Amino acid sequence: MPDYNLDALILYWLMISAFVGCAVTPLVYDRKGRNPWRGAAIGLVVGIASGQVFGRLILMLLDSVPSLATWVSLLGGLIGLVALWLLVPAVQNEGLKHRGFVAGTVTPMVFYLATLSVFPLLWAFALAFFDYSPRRVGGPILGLGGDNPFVGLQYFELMLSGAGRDARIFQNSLANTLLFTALVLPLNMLITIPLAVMIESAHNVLRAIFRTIYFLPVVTSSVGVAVMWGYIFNTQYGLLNNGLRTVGITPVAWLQDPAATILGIPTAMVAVVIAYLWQDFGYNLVIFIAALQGIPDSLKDAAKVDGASPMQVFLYVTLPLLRPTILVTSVLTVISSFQVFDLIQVMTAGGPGRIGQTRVLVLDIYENAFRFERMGWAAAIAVVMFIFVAVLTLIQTRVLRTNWEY
Amino acid sequence: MAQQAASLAADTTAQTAAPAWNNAPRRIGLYVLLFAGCIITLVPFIWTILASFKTHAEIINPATQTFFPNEFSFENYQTILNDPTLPLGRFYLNSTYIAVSNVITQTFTSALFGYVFAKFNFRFKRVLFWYIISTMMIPFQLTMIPSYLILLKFNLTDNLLGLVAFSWFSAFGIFLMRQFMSTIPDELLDAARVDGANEWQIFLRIVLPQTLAALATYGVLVFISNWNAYLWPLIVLRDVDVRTLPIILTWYNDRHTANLGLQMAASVLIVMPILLVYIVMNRWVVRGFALTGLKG
Repeated sequence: MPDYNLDALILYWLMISAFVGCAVTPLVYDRKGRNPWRGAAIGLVVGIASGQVFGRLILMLLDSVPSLATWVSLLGGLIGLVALWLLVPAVQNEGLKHRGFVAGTVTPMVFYLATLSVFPLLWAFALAFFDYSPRRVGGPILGLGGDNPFVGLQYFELMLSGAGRDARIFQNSLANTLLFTALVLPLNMLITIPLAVMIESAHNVLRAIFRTIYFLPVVTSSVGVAVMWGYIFNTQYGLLNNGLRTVGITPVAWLQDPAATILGIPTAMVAVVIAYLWQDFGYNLVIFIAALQGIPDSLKDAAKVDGASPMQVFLYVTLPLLRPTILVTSVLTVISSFQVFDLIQVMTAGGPGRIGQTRVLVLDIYENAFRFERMGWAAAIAVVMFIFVAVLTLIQTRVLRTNWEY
Repeated sequence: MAQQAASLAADTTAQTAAPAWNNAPRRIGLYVLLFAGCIITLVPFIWTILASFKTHAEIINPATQTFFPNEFSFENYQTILNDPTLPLGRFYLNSTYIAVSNVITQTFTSALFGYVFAKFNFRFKRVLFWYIISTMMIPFQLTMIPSYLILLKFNLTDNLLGLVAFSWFSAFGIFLMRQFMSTIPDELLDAARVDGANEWQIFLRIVLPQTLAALATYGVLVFISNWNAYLWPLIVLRDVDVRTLPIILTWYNDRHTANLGLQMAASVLIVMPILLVYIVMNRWVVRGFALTGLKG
């Protein structure tokens, strides 16, 4: 048996020859005075067809040297395409020159988006209605059906009712994600906006240094951040508990003790929120600094001439003018904190507690899809997450925009 | 001191249009706060670096748990660099390969399609652009499951190529570069057309050089976010040999949960190099983030 994977090869033939077909054919058609868009469509079809036919043919002919055969067969589509490029007769048509470039770039992009963006998206929605595992063979279309049965809205009903362990874990994850976002968003704004104003009024040289330092955590890998903060919050050897011990306070098992809370919030959640804020604040900070630099000094000066204190200038001039920036940053912060994963997976793995005090939606999706191979359930959670992100973004846009228009 | 402060204060009252914080006590307060913020930002880094020089015995002994190491020891670094199961050089290569190939494909496609969307008209252009922009709103977690299944079909899991396949196009990049491309004067392009250049030549020889600075800024961002990427590589790369640095860090730390000094030394070796790159290029990086609103 040759050691190639025929299913994968068929897909390679398809992708490669389709790309070459719709990228190059428009240029040839253009040169011959023909319509490049039609060339793109014909090139796509000819490329795909000849890729399958000649790819298979080459694979059969070079059967004795399988490693070479697989590589050469990738170029099979070219045979049909070159024939097309040579055989298409030229016509005299001055009107269409130079359009081959657009057709030859846009068509491959559309093909790429259709296969690797739209298609996965539709597939994701479809998965949410099936009990799907990649282990089982399933039906003919995408392995859906058959051993991967259609379950309809069952997953979504489960989520709403909260019956069973999975649904309880999901509801807990959703609650944790909302709590995490609800903590991160206001705290982030409370830190970054005043800090941006302060940095903006610092001396030029220092301003650059401050900005560089404050931005350092943003470029740090979130896994690194999780490792560093995990050590700081370490029960026996951590910096925080060392500090508490020297002051004479009993150390807390920040990441492990499910009973420990601050203001009713589990300490593990507080810890990941702190680590997340630490990593993330520099990002919004830089956006706010850029926005502050865009506010004309004359507005602030006018307020000062009228006798406004710095605090009043901030509250009544700077802050209202920052509103569009606050909208953008808060939408981005909500989206990214809804997708938090790295930090929590490494720092707490969702724990402590029986169903996980820091278990968030993405962790639930990841574990269900890739550890337990229950991809239908995971896809259903992902769909819910998508809806939440979309709705939250919409609400924020509405709320902050109407205020701005007054 | 008090006199100085008083004269400074007098100075500022003289200037009606002075910046908000322009009197001495306020200014001192401002800098105290800003420096305190810097210390909070830097302490985790310093604590990690210092811990990487502490021996295991020193870390676990309550009597010697101090901020600074009692004696600097390179034991942890020696252990890591001599560990045959941890060929760091290979993982650096893996991460570099992924980050660089993503930078190349994404900067190229962003420039190309930014140009196409800015300077050409074609059917369904608005629909296409609208679709690309709206993909920014779709969380990756939704498409990652089918994307993984597609890679399985392509037999590209455990393959660095599989990690690049889904990120040829960046909606952010196309959107960003379109803004830049629309500032290029049409006369310049038409002049080249009259001189007989074809469209690819115009793009490669005239348009690309003009936007190199913007592209470089964008490229640095793509590099950093791919260098730090965790979730997608974690899913795709199951085989240890092809893994990237962030996954290797968690993998290594899981095997040495008890030895914190060793973990911190690994973090320093794996996380810190990118910080040096950032410090050298920080003006570009910060400007880029502010400009694009791209999240790492």
